Amino acid sequence: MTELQRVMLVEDDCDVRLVAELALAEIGGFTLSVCCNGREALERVEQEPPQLILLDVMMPGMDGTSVLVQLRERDETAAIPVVMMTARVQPAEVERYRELGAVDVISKPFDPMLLADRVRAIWADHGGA
Amino acid sequence: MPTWDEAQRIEALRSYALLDTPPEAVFDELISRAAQLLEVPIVLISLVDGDRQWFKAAVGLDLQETSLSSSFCAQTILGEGPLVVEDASHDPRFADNPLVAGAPGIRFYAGTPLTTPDGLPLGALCLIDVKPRGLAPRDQLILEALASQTEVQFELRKQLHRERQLQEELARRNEILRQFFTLSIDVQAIADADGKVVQINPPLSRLIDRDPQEVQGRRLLELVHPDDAPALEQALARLEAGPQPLDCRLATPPGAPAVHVCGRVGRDMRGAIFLAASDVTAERELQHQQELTASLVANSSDAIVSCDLSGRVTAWNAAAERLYDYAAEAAIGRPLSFIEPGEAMERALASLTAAEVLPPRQAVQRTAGGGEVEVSLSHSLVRAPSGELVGFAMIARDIGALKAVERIKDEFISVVSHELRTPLTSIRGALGLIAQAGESLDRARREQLLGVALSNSERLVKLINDILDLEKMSRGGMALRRAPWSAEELVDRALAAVDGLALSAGVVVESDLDVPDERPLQLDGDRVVQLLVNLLSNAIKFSERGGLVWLGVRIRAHALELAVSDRGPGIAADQHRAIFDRFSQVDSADTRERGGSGLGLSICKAIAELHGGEIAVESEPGQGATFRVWLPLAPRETSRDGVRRPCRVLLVEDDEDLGTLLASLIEREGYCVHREGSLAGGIGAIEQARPDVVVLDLGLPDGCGLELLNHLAADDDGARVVIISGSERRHPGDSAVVDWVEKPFDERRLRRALALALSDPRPAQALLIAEDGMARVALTARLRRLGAQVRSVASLEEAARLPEKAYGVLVLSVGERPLAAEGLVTLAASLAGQLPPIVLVGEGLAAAELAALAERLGGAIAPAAGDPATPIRPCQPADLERWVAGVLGRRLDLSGAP
Repeated sequence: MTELQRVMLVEDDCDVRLVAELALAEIGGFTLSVCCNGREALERVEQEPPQLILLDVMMPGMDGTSVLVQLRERDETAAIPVVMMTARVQPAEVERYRELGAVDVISKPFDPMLLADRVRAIWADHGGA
Repeated sequence: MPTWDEAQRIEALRSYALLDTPPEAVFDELISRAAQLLEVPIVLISLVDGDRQWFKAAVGLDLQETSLSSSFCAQTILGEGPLVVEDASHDPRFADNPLVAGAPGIRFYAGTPLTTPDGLPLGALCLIDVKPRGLAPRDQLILEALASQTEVQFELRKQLHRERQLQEELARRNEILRQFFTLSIDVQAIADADGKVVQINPPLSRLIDRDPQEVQGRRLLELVHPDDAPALEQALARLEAGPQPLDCRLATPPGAPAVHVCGRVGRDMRGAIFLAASDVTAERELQHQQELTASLVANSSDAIVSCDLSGRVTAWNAAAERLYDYAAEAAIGRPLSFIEPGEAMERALASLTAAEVLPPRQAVQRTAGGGEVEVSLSHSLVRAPSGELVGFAMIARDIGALKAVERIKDEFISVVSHELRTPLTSIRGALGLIAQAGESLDRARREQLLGVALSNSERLVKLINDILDLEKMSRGGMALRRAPWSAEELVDRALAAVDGLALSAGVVVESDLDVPDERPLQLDGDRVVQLLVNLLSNAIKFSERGGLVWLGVRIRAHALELAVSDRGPGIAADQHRAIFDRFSQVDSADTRERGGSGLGLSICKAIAELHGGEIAVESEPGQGATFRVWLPLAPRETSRDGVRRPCRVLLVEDDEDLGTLLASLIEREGYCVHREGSLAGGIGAIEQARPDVVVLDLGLPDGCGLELLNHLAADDDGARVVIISGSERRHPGDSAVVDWVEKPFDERRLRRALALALSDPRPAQALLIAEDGMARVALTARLRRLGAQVRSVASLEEAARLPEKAYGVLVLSVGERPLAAEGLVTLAASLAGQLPPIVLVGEGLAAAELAALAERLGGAIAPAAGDPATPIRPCQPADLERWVAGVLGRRLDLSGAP
């Protein structure tokens, strides 16, 4: 199993971004590329492909689900596991993210101390081939 | 030969009812008197029947009847007069008669016919003797007189008989009627001509629970329900025209159910009144029930459809027509599956036709246009009174809107949950990091995280406040705190609030205030700032980095107009209304989802509406969006005579078409318009209509419009004047004239002029531009002494930024520094070309220098060819008053000049 190192975080809210950054990079030890919106994520995902993407759902401009759909459609990115991070956690919505190809869903608020562990566990389940 | 018909004669004879009746004294006395008077032993009253003669009365002969063979009487009735036989034994007609041949041995016979008044012979009165003899003429007369007497008696008898017969007939008929009257199940009553009851039949008696005797003599009207008595009274009043229909309730005893009868009233020739009616209570009740049912079905908001056992539609109500868009005619007769093909309907039909009761279900059914409708369905079996299943009914309720609301509500809850969770994520995360990893973080990081927690707590509070605010506003639970605010203040505060957001989004926010009026606005400033912040935040959020957001504020007639524009993705037209709805603005399909609470625009709408205003959006996808808010301002009111009233505009314009156009424009701005077509009319109207503003044409049929200015009140409360001028362009310099609009004018120009005219306080009439502070102070004082209101600034550029846009005169002080003509051009542009006459004051400049400068400036601001230039008057400081007064005209009091 490949060790998870390069993680991309896509989050529009700068405060959540800061917290997640600290949790993933400083506490989790990942090499993190951080994007503020979907468009930026789609550009950078090809320049510096991550092993796993943490994707916020509700973002201005292009929302997380549209980003997810595009990532699944592109050959270069179709294999990268995407974990949705969302405050909208109604079962129907979670189901929809999975149908669109997300490997898992992390609900907000999350425990910053456990976030990295959670991501590694998901990686182990889905992406670590 | 007889001249009568024998059958007729026999019938006539029978009609007297004399045959075979007992002896009667009147006839017996008559014949015994005849026997005495005429001295014969035998006298008979003989009636000649078909084959016998029968004696109604007889003396001297003990016989009741005899046969007609060889009858004397049969012979008598064949003749006209009396038959006299002196000796029958020698007369061959009678010799064989047994009464002649045998006992008593008749010899003499004298008979005279007894006839009807028509001459039909009935029989004879005869005198008989057993000795031969003759009849003296006197005796013959007596015989005939007695015969007449007998005939009279016959007639009396006949009459008596007929009367008896009639009486019997009458009695029989009465009995029949009585039987019907008693046996009838209908109600019947008879009253006399005065309307007093004579008789009522048993059913009527039973229904009104009163004895027939008890109601005799009471008024017929008492038999019907008091509320229906007038109807009966009306019917009775019309009886002369014939029988009248009657439809009323009976006077049933208190507490008893109403009885409804329907029938007729009539009267006979003597005026007696007859009432006959059937009890229709049950039918009416049924009819009422049916009508009620029909009305319920027709007016039901649910579609009600009934089908026969084969599943074909038999009834289709109005709601069904609306729901499925099929007319009843188009639907009736079709299998019900036409609105819902598929298994569910097939199963339902199978169950129903098998008389199974179905639980309610939900379905998506089809409409005529090929559309779909979400319905909740309930089914019921329809049975005939006998209990036999004849079909079923389906009730369908459109639950599309309900479902939509449900979806919107779910979406809203989902969004609100997101909005609450996002700041919580930051708070939770920041505090979690500090609490558990605090030692590994440096001080700056810890402070940063605390800041994050703090600001997100505030964000959470704001969101919760938003939700609560909106709740309060939408329930009308929030009162506005109106206070005087200036437009600048509102804008400054709103801009300050979104400054950070704009900065981080890389969006530039520009504002443009066009508020000529310095009058404070009466509104709830905090709420209006909240509204602006919401609109600006939205605009910033929807803008690309480097984008521009524009905030415009202007006074539009009686409203403050706030406009926020962005160059974002825009909003599709079908969303223009929905975005203001609390629950629906955050449709996930909406590409404009920007992580807002979804409450901002609802709050804006609520704030605008609380102020009595409106909000609307103008946008097309890809073209950005402009949100416009109008908040009504209290209309200007004047207190000239202590009476407060809305502002009025006097329009003096002789051209009919232009006048109509102007009036409609002015009215549309919310002012009252008084129109006059002449100078004299205008002058008259100034006193009567007391206008706040006069819109004045100069070329009037009876003089120059400027004449009117002399009639305006000189004080500050006098009307302000907007001049509509033809081609001439000269400023009258009257302090009352606030603007000058040239023909052809545009609507916006006129609107601005009106707003200016109504602004308070009155705009400055003199604009002083002097770079040198000392000169400015000195010149301002001198102009004020002239009675002018003065606005003074240090430069042309500064003047161009002033909110006032109309002046009577521009005083331009030029000193040692050269004056750039561009500044004047800018000012002219800002005044929309309405540059007043300029007085150019040269401090320490030679007259020639000053004149050259005036010419240069005049050239720079020269308008298009054909338009007269704004005059620029070079002026030495000492001549200031003279020139300014010359420009401003008679209103300036030169006597006050130094």
